[in-house]
Amino acid sequence: MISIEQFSYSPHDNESEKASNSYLMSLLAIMAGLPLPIINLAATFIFYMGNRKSTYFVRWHATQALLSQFSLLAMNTVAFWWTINIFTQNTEISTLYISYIMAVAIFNLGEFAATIYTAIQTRKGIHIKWWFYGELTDLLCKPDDYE
Amino acid sequence: MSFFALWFILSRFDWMDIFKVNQTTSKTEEAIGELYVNALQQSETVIEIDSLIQPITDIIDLIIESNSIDVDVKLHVFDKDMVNAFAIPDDNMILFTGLIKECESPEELAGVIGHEIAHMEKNHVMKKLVKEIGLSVLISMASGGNSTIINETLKTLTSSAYDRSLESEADLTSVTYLENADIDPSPFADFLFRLSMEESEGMQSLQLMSSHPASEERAKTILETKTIDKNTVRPLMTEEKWKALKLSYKAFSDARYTD
Repeated sequence: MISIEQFSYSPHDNESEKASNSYLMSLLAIMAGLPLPIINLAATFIFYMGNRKSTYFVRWHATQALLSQFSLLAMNTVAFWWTINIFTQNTEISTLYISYIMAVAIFNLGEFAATIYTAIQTRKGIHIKWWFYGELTDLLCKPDDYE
Repeated sequence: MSFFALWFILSRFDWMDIFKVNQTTSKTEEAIGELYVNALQQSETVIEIDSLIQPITDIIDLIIESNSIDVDVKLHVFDKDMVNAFAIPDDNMILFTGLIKECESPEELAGVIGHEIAHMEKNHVMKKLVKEIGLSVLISMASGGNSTIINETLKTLTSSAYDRSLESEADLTSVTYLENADIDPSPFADFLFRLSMEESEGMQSLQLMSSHPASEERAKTILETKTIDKNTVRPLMTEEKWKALKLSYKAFSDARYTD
């Protein structure tokens, strides 16, 4: 799920702080954004836009933090509208719904823990690569010529 | 992928049973239904005379048995001139004597009763309440029972209509119920036609379905939907018996006003 890898260069303390902040941003947004899942995506996107011209290490982690929000967004959006439908009595509560909410809760908690861990490690300058999102970030985020 | 796998594994457990969801929901409905019935009993006169109630209970039983409906209807008849019938939570059916006096045959009354049973069976009652007054109010009512809220929300149930789609669904389901019980649905359509005529004449006392989607249109749909063979229909009761029942209701009301 998560692996520690060697980055192409040793990031400066200033870069580590910024990169770590991109994860903290999504953490704060998760807390503020529930039950509106779009808020955490919007927050990490704003942070990404503000740092897209930053150094490679910062850009890379801002991109990974942003990408990791997409699957949660999809899961949480379905959970949100399914719940609204139940509250308005258009759909009835079912075992399928309860198990979906449980699965979403487990994934949100997992993501929450992974984000905290990544934020701490990144602050120390350790390069943390997430399964799938890390590979995707590698494809999208390339070092500048001078880096 | 891992998310779907987890969802699949979790869905193998019967969470509805583990969390006792159905029991909790039915207890809430029971509490709300009881509050409404109590509120009506305090403001209106309840009719409890067996000879007046039994013929209506027989119609309800016939519809339920002929259609194998899993609804335990609790009938409450109130002496009120308003032409009205409605369903409230926990399968309580409220009939006002005004409706019985307005119906020209037991088949007309059976159509209205079928319509209300359909609202119960399709869970329209709770859907409507949640939509109109909100889940939080319902939960606070079930746990506390503020009389002002009860009376205000009772108005919602007695006077305003369900969604057009829910009304149509209840009408069509009622037609099916009647046909399965070998009752001709045409008188139900006649009743709605008559209601639409009286609506246009501005009869203020006619509350039943006056705010429902156009009664004339509903009557036409019922006539178009019915498939029953005239030869298979059987009368619910003799004309004499029906007239006698209506007279008994009239006599009850008259005696009450004389007192």
